[in-house]
Amino acid sequence: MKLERELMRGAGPTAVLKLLSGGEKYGYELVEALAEKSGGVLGMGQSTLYPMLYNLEAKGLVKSRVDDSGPRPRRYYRLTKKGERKLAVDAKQWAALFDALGSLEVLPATPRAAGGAA
Amino acid sequence: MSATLPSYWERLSTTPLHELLRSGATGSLDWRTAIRAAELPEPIADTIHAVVRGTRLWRSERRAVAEELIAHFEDGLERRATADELVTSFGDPATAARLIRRAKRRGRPVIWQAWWWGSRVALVAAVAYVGLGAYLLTAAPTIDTDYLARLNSPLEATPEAERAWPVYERLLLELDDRLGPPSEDERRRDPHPAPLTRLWARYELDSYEKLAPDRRAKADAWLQANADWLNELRSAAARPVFGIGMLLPHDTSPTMSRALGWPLYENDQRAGPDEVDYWDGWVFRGMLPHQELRTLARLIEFDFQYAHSIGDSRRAADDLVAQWGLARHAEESPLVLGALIGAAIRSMAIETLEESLTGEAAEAWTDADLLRLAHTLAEPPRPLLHHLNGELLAMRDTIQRMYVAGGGVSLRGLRGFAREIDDDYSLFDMPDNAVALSTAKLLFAPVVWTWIASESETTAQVERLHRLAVQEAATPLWEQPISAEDAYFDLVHREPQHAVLGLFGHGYRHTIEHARRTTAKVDGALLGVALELFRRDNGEWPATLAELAPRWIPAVPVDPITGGSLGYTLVDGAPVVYSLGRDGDDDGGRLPAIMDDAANADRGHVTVQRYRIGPPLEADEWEKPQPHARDRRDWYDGDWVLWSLAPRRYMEAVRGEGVGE
Repeated sequence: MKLERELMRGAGPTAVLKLLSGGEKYGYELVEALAEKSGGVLGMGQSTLYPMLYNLEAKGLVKSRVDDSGPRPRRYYRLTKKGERKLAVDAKQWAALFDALGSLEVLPATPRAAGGAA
Repeated sequence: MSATLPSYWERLSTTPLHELLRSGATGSLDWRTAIRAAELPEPIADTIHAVVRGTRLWRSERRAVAEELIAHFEDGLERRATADELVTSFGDPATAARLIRRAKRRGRPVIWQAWWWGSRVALVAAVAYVGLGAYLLTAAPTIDTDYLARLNSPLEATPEAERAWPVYERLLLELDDRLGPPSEDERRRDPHPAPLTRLWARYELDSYEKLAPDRRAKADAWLQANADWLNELRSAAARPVFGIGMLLPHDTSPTMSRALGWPLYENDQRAGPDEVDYWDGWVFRGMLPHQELRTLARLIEFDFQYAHSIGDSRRAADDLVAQWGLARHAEESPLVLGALIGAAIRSMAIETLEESLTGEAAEAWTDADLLRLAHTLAEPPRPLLHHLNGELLAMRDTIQRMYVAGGGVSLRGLRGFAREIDDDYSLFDMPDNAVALSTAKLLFAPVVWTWIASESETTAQVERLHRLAVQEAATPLWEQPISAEDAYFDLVHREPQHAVLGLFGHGYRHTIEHARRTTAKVDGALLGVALELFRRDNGEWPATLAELAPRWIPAVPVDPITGGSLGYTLVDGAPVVYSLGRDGDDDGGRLPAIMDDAANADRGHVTVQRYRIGPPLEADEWEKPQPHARDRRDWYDGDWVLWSLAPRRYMEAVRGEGVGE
């Protein structure tokens, strides 16, 4: 299932930040990880991914470097401290969103939502 | 894509300067060559090429994007994806290019961001500036109201028999005939010599006392030969109404031109052939023969001096009554200029009367004529409200010609105005006199327009100044909280956006002060006549002014500045009546050191310092910073003399020269 664009606009950057929190990655790695780990839901065209990475870099949430040591020059992206803080904030907000949707029975109730207010 | 190697010039154009100096033309920024060198399948290469070219980024940025996309697709091929699959999953190149461009620009240095936004804002501002300039050059004022007709309308119902102007005009034409055709010398001085100007040039009628004997004989002969003409002039001055409205220059009739020496305007000579004259019909363009009334008053004054010299009290009284009539006619004008001319004529009459009552010369007056003079002097001038209201209408007229309706200053209107005042901008109170709207200054017109007061703001200030002036005119000095003139001055000179008021708001300058001065001088003259009548009845001057009332004067006027009792003293046996002045101190009728003796000024004295009247000054105001020259202490440490028969040496002695009384 593909997400609507507006939802992807909110979820996509968080997903990328989360993937980078596990270590630096290059573009194609991120493409594969997004598709694989999200079951294709957060898979996005590279025409979207690379601009997103550049935006995250412009905001100071990620930082890139070029590695010439491999078979070809690759640009690796890693999370900055600011990106870590942003990821933590986004995670809380998504959790709160899921709780609310669970309370409304839009989503299956999470154990936390079922036990009362977060 | 072509597999040819880049030329030297291509490499040169894609080499950063620091690399060029160090390593030569490396072409390190050449992204096209990088794509070719990657030897990717054509669909992929074309996709990368389309994306990178579409970003329209800096060369270094495009090189970086190209390398990253090359690595991406090579990674994909390594993972056994086909070129078509990779191109399809990549997405739309145009969209990618657009998004990449936007994102990369966000990451550029702050200085670039500032330059980019600043240049856009500057461009928008430049377009707006040019647009505003075009608007200012083309937008024209809408003239809705004919204020000149409105101000002249009260005259329409006046019967011809009550109008003085037709008689004045006829008399001036007769005078021109009696003087004969203008000589070559007269025409050389003035192609349109006015009859009064010719009369003055021929007989030198400024001061009867100062004329040399032969000149005086010549003048006497003229006065005797033209006694009938002078009688008619006095009769005209007695008519109730002046009887002429304000005229525009091109309305001057040939007879009026000859009577007054005004040029004839066959066409509107001010506007260019293709230019609409937004100032045609402007109230301030309206002309009235005020100055001619003043000149006639001077002629009457000359006759007054002659009459008094020959002991003809009746004729002298007739002359002063005629001067009062001329003043009344001048004051008919709805503009403050009329009030000022009227005040000048009244002052002239009072000064002459004062001289005629000094010393033995007073014996030439009969009691009956003095009483008649007292009744004449008691006729009040036209209330200043008449002129202030007229001035307000004139200002509204000026506003409607200077502004686009409901908007800002109209440049087309303003250019015409600049042409108007180019002739005599001394009439106008402006912070600077740079009114010529040269081309260079026109370039700054939009800047001026943005901050100069709008029509509504200017109108509001004009209305406010008018209310202040009306309130001030109706308030005695000792109760006056704020001066309209000061409010006007502050507005024009300290709030630049209201500078346009300085172009036409001069009506408040000194107007109320002159009106107060005239009223006080008239009070002084009434007291002077009352003193003379008292002296004749009692053989001596009264000890106090209170003794004069109610027999010789209904009530003793109060001090026009303090509201208290007027000062009164005898100097060498001659009475001096005075206001204690703004300092409130009784200085025994001594003028402030800086002043000439206005009360005893010689006739024809060109520059006479006059007491600058105003509200009483508090003691601590002496120590305050003085923003205007007229607030200097030496202006006010003394008294304001309203009537003085004291010898001239008295005033000279107290003018700070160390000679005591």
